[in-house]
Order: sequence, then structure tokens, then C-alpha cells
Amino acid sequence: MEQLGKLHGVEIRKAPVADYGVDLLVVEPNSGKRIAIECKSAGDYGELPISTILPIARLVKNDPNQQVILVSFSSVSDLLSTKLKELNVPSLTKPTVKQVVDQVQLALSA
Amino acid sequence: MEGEFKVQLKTYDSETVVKAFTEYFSNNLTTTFAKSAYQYTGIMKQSDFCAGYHTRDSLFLVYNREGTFLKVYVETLNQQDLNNLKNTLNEYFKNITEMLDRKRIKWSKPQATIRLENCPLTGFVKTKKLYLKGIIEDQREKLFIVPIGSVLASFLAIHWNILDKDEASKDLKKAVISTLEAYIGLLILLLIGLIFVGNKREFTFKI
Repeated sequence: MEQLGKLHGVEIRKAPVADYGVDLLVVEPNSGKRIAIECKSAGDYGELPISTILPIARLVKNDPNQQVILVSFSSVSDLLSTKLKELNVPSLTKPTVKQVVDQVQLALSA
Repeated sequence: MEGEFKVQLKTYDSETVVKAFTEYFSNNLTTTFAKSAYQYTGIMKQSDFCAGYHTRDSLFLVYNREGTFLKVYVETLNQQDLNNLKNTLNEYFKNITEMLDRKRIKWSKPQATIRLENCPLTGFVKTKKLYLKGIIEDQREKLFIVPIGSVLASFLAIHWNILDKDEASKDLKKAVISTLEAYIGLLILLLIGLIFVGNKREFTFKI
């Protein structure tokens, strides 16, 4: 897995494509805690299709100890948002880098 | 790989919409949901949908009302064939919008998407209006920018004595002729568009 760098002592890796298409994987070396960041965009459609929940649900089931965070560059419908909450997957819509970093730190400290 | 399309309803009465699906598609929600990919994840419930229909090779599920958009999930048995999914999505779109028309439910803003891993496909309906708008945008340079640029260049060339008036007027004539050609070409394209481009109930997909 390609290491992209370190942020506040936390390794950031680019996940392999075969790993359910996880875009970024943040690993805390001491505890081994893993945060998977999924980035999604629906282009001109404007909002993520509700079926976006399918790969995310698979990702969560695949490794229950891995926290998944969804970064969306399109809006998220109420139904999809509810389902993400049920899966305990926080979603960030068009976030800044700082917002993503804050969310990752929050997940690591949980 | 799954598809979704949505249309905005002018007045969204859930009861009328469900009745229409029952009338036109028999509304096999339970069996359709049981066949869908949603069944295996456990996260989506049958109660999240209000109607469904399936054949041997494909299915659609209608999400419960959320705002004024009617949203339809489309899935095909063959998950690898993108063209098959595009065709199925367009067929369901055509059938459902015809149902809405027959029930006098006004709809607008059709849009579709196909969820591919890391590559969203967005679909739009190519109406006459969009076709004409596209032509004018494509020809903008020939119709407006080039003629203005040519006139300005000729004027400046005379002003700075780079060209004499005769030479400049020859250039100007050429510019006028090519502009006229562009306008005649545009007229022909507009006529073709008005005659041959129908308001098809079909999504054109772009990556």
C-alpha cells in the first residue's frame, strides 16, 4: 500500500483499487486504528445516488473495526444521510481539508 | 453498477403515484426488493420504497417520496454490461414518464446517473431546446468573435498604416463572406434540428 505521508504522526496511505475502492486510508501506527475515507461525486446529477450506500455498506461489513468517512462533492439526500448514520458513517459535503482532518482526528480519538 | 433517474413532479401526491404504478406495472414491490442488491446489504428496507417492478433480467424500485422528485433505482442482472444498463434505464424512463403523462401528472427536469466505481455517468435528455443551445454555443466563435476581430484588425491596420484601404477592404470582404457562410450554416443546422430532433424520452450519458 503506497504511503502518501504523515500528518500529526499518523500515516496516510493510498489504498489499492482492489480494496473496495477505498480512496484514502489513515492508519494510526500505535493503536493500528484504520480510518477509510471514501470520496464520491455524482457530477451533474447534483446529488449522490442513494445506491452509493451499497459499496459503503460492504466496506463497513468487510472490516467492522475500520471507521469509514464519506467525503462527498455532491449533495447527500435525506434518505442516504439517514442510512449513513445507521451505518455510523459520518459524511462531509464539499468539505475543506481542515474539516476532513478534524473529522479524522475525531474518529481516531473515539 | 446501478442506475438512478429522477423527475420533478409538479404536484407529488404519493397515493396517486403508487396507484399509477400498481395500475401500469402491477407493483411487485416485495418480489422486486427480494431480487435487488439492496436485499443483501440489509441497510435498505422494503419500507424505503413505494413501488417496484421486475423482469427476468432487470428491475426498478421507486424510492419513497423525498421532496418533489420521483426517484427510481434501476438494476440489471448483468452487472458488467454498461450498454444493457443504459438501455434498461431508458426503457423504464420512457415507460414511467408515459405512465405519468397518461395520469396527467406533470413532470420536468429529468436526470439520470449510473453509479460506476470511481466514475459517475450523468444522463440528460437531449431536447430541441438543448440541441439549439448547443449549436449556438459551438458556433459562437465563428458567428460573433471572428467577425468582430476581423473588423477591428482591419480598422487598426488602416489606422497604423500597415495596410492601405484597398487591401483592408479585401480582407474585410473575406471576413463578411465567411461570416455569412457561418450564418447560413447555422440556419441549415437549426432547420435540421427543428425537423429531425424530436423530444425523445431518452437519456444521453456522458462521463
